[in-house]
Amino acid sequence: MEGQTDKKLRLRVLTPRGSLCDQDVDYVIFRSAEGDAGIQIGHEPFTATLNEGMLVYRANSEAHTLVVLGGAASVLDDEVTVISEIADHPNRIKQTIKELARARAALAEEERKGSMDIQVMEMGLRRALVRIDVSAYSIIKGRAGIMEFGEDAREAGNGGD
Amino acid sequence: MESVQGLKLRLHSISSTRQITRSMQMIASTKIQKTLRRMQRNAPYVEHFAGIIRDVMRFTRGVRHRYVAPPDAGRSAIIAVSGDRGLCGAYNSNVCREAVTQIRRMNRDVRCVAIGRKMRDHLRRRKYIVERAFDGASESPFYGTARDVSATAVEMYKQGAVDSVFIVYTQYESALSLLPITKRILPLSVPDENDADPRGRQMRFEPGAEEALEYIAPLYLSASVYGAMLNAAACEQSARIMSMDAASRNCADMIERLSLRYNRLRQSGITQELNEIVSGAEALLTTEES
Repeated sequence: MEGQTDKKLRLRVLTPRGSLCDQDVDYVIFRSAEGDAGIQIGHEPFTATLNEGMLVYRANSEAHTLVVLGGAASVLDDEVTVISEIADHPNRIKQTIKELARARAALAEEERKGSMDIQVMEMGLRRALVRIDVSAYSIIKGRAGIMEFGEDAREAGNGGD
Repeated sequence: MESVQGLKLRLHSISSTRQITRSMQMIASTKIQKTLRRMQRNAPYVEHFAGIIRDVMRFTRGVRHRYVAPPDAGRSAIIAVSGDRGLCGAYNSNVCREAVTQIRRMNRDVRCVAIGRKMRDHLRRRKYIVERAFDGASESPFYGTARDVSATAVEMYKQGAVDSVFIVYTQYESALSLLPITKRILPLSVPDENDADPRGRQMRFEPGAEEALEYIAPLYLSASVYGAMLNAAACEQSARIMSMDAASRNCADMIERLSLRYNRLRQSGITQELNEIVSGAEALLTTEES
């Protein structure tokens, strides 16, 4: 794939807390509502809602991963824009979720205790799904050696909070 | 006539007030830097999200969906953002006035979602329907609050209790330009006929155009509310800086005037005492001579 074309995709991964990626990439793989979607240069206009999962992209001959917990992706004119309320690097996602949960708990008031419980449970479910995902990628990486995955990511896959 | 002791007490009291206003100014300066950094980080998210919504609307022309219905002259909901605390000049009163103006302009059954104690109290005092109020999030907005606010608005919209949702907040243009504005956030704007894709392409949606809109629109609402809350927080701190700066300067002026009066009074007291001593001494001398 490399060297076939000089054209690259522009990938932007954006969250309310900042941008995680804004660079030229060779390809992007993300988990849409109907399964994993791979995007390369010249892709048709495409908009997808995202499930919780990993986003993999290749830039500067290196594969990179991000954890994305829902959101939406849009592909238009070789620009891929991924927006997500919660997304981060695999080694930081646990910390991010913890911070969000802590901040949310601090804000909880008596009147919205009912809705809080559901949200906390939802957060727990998402966290569990990501743990499974991250550990699966660690195994794949171990077998195929397709990407560099830090110790923290393996830890995130095995450990609980 | 004012006593020297009384003036001294007033001077002391004004100096303490100046210390407080200066501290508040410094705290507000730190907070605004933090909020502006958060705004800067959030800006691409809101900007590109708006772009995605524009593209989706462009490619879903003709798709009938409740979130893209043309604006109806029915009932409305207003999300109004103010501060929780005062001591920030006319910031709160300006945005509260804008909210009331909009409610009166709509001239119909308006349901309000208030962010900030000042807005909640202002609307309740005027007997408007405050569906839900969110306190304690104005100075340091949290995305979770924005999500709760948008969930309340979306719920009202879905149930058919309201036909459109507006947001009233103060837009941060610069430290000196704080502008209360009103924006419609639901239903989403329908694009012009000329705004079609020039190459006539079709967009593929997963799962489908309607399902995608159903999922994306509430997310966009949360993003818009969060953006508005960050803007409002920056405006509140900016207004507080200006207000506290003016208060500190007024304190300095008062201290200067009172110090002058205090010194004059003290000086006249000393002069009077000297006069009395001299007069006393002269009287003694005269008695001795005679």
